[in-house]
Amino acid sequence: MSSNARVWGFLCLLAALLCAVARPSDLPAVSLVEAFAGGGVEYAEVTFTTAVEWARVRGARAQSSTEAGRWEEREVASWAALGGRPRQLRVMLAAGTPQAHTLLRVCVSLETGAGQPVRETCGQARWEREAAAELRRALDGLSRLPKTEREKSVLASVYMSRQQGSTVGSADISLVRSDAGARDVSYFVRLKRGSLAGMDPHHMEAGGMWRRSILMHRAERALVRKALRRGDWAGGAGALQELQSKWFAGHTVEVGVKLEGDASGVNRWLGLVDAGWGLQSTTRRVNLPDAPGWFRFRLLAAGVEAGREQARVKWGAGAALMIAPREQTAPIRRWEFTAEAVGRWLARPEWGRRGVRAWLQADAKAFFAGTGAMRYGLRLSLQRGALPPLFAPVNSVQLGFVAESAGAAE
Amino acid sequence: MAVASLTALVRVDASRDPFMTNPADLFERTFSNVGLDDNQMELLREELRLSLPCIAGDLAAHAADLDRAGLRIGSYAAFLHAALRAASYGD
Repeated sequence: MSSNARVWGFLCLLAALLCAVARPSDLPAVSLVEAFAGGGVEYAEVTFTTAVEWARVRGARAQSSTEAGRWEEREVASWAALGGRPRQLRVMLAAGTPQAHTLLRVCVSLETGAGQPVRETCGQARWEREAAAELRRALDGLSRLPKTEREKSVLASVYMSRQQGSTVGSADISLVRSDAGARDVSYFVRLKRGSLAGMDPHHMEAGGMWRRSILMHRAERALVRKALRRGDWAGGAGALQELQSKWFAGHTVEVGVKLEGDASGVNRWLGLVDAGWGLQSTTRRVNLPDAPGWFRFRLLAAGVEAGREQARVKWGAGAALMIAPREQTAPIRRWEFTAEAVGRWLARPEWGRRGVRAWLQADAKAFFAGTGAMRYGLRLSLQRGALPPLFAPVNSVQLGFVAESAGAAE
Repeated sequence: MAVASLTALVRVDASRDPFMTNPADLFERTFSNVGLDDNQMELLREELRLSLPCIAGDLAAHAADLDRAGLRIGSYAAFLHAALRAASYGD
């Protein structure tokens, strides 16, 4: 009897202890605090681990301290949620923190549920008093992309398939990187190769490009800015809707030099000046049933490529459509359809060819798996036409696996 | 507002305090997640240059870092906030 009582007593005590320490796994907790001071304004931005229902915030308190000193209470003037940031809260302090205080601790009280006790979660930060230091930290944050996304654009598709007992391969690589020092300048390398005749464009180009984007609809944009400055939100929203309904967002002007080659045994390399003017669309919403997405395109309205013996006029267009089924268990998580077309009129004969040479590449991709840096799926690619410098005719349909760096063509 | 002017995937209701966005977690997404590509990022920077002329120099100086659709919108906003603060306080 007495041993049964001990067992039950121990179990009750264990249950009581577990109830005391147990926490719902989805309660938000402070994960980051950033403290700012300057110009007579002091505030902290508090980031939580999950989205917070702001109606559950019951209060906030703050303390500041020197490096090795005691915490002193600071008056909290107000707190407010931030638009577009469901995990962040801004806590405004009544200014007057001593300059010698370098640390700030902020605690936020949250109601955990109807009739449940209020829980407090805290975080700590260093005061950011120097705007220059804040700017350096923000720039560090911009550069903290994964390595595969640090380049301006990386798009690499390499795939293999079996055809008639032999392995067929092709590579379609585009690498673009901005110049860190010179404004609007970028460098690029592009390669399109295949292993069989009829599917090998024999195309490689590498060079540098100066590019400037120019906004369109400046009057409408000025209306939005003026409306927001005078607090006319309705007027600003109307002007913004008008902008979103426009098809085009801006012009682009490009001037550059490139080395164009066939990257094969023919070994034909050309130095060219390349210039063009184009139009960039806005991104439009696509509303398919249970599969939202977007659509955008750009036009190369006019361009020229000129070298020692080459004179070409070019034009073209590119479009991208992305659809992501809402259903989480859908086998295909993402569909992408892209098409690029360019036409070149050869004013002077090249490699025995003149007249118009066109190129069309259309891809359909279905992604079924991915990591943070890469996406994996199937790609159906249609290539038809000819590319410089050889203008070898290509007419191929290829199906294969694709591994694509994330951040490209999303 | 600058992002919303380039993509229909973003809606902003600035009549409320705090302003509301659709998607609700706009600042935690990347620009590519709301349909922008690197070409459109250049237009975004141009829009911000016109909206925030006091930090036009900072926008131009860091164009290579800013013109990337893989950036998180919140990180970009933090940069704008820091640049505006530096311009306001003359630090």
